[in-house]
Amino acid sequence: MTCPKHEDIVKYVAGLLDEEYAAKLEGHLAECRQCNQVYQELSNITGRLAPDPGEFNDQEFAGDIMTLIRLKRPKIERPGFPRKFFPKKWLAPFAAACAAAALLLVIWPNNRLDESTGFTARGGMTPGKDRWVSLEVFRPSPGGGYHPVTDRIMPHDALAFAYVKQRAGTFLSFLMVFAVDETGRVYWYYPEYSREDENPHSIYIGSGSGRASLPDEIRHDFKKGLLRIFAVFSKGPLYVRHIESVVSMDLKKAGSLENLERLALKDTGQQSILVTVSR
Amino acid sequence: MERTDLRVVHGSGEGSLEDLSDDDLMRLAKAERKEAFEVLIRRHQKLVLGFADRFFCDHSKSWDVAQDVFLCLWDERQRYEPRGRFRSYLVSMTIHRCHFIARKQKNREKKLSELTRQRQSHDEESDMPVDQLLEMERSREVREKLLALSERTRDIIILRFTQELTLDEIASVTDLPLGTVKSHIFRGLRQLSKLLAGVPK
Repeated sequence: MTCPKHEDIVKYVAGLLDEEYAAKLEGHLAECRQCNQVYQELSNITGRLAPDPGEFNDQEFAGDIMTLIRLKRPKIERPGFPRKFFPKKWLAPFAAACAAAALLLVIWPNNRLDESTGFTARGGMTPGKDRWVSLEVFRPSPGGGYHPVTDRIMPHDALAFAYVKQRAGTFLSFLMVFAVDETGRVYWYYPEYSREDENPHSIYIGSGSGRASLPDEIRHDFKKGLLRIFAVFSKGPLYVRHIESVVSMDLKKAGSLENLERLALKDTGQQSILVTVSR
Repeated sequence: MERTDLRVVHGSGEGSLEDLSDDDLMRLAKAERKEAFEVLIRRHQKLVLGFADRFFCDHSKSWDVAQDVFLCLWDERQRYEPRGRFRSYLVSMTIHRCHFIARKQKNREKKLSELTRQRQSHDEESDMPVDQLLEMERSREVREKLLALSERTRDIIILRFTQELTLDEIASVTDLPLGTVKSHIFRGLRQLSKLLAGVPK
């Protein structure tokens, strides 16, 4: 394929291309440095529009609104029906609350990685060979809490994840977590991929360093056999269809799942964990 | 097509307000069950705050707008018809409110509050690691460039890339044909790319 028009790369990033052409373009992006650079720049733009982890999850927001509701304040001014919004006497405490909230949003970025924590991850796996990142996999225990997954899971186990970034910076601000079985089928954890007509991209995890838990327990129904769980950290967002095509090619080259420790994705930090699915 | 193999497993627990659908929570809100409404706010605050924040590129204004949206929703709860489209309804309200506030405040306030905000932000950021600070600045540059887009294009870009709505959802919420939504996305992204050309990545 020759280099596509710039507008086609824009359409690709915006998810506006038909599947066939998008697949061709993906193949080209993997080979052409110049086009890949254009793609990365556009991806950086869309990635930076996405919310940071924990952004907008302010715990006090709902409580403040409920307080106003309980205070029976005047109705909100709606377009076309000019009415006074709040009585002046409420403005000072209101402004203080808003200022405090805005300040919290500014102060919190350092801690955002932990805000979306839906569980407390325990234990951990040996970090992979990509030195700055590692993935930890857990399965919920029936009695509550989580067990680290070492080498074995059950076919219907829900899994939960935590990751560690050893170094802050922009170079690994996006994350994908997925599993690949021996047939090359990809099971997605992050991003959520439940509709085949979509092409979601990596989740944004921010540029901070440290350890963070991902919020969901997610279950797939696996067949018995080997399964490799991947975490791919990248500078810009990667798209699920692109990854699935890379997995398919790399699995063929590697010959088996045991040999597929890393995917041919440039400028990424990766870790993969091989587990056996059995009863 | 739905992928039936993917299931998100929620934590154990008996039936609680958290397990109810948006429509059921609105039904309870109509019956004056404020705790149900609070669950709705927590569930959707990210959507409303996120949209308003990117629309105005201003945290404190987005807080005010989001608050207005939820208060308005409470005021108008009796008019809501539960037809499984709560999310779209809420997004429409948010867009409407943002446009309303933008028109209203176009010619006043602004300078003083922005100066205060920037001063405050820079004070807090001065101790951050350089990489993190740079990424924050780059994100801020991108988000500020959104303000250069027309309101309609900005709405659609935000819905697509901040809220990750599907093209069909965006068409439904904005009441625009799918083709128009696509061309707004294309134009918006291309415009952002041009505006940011020359800005170090």
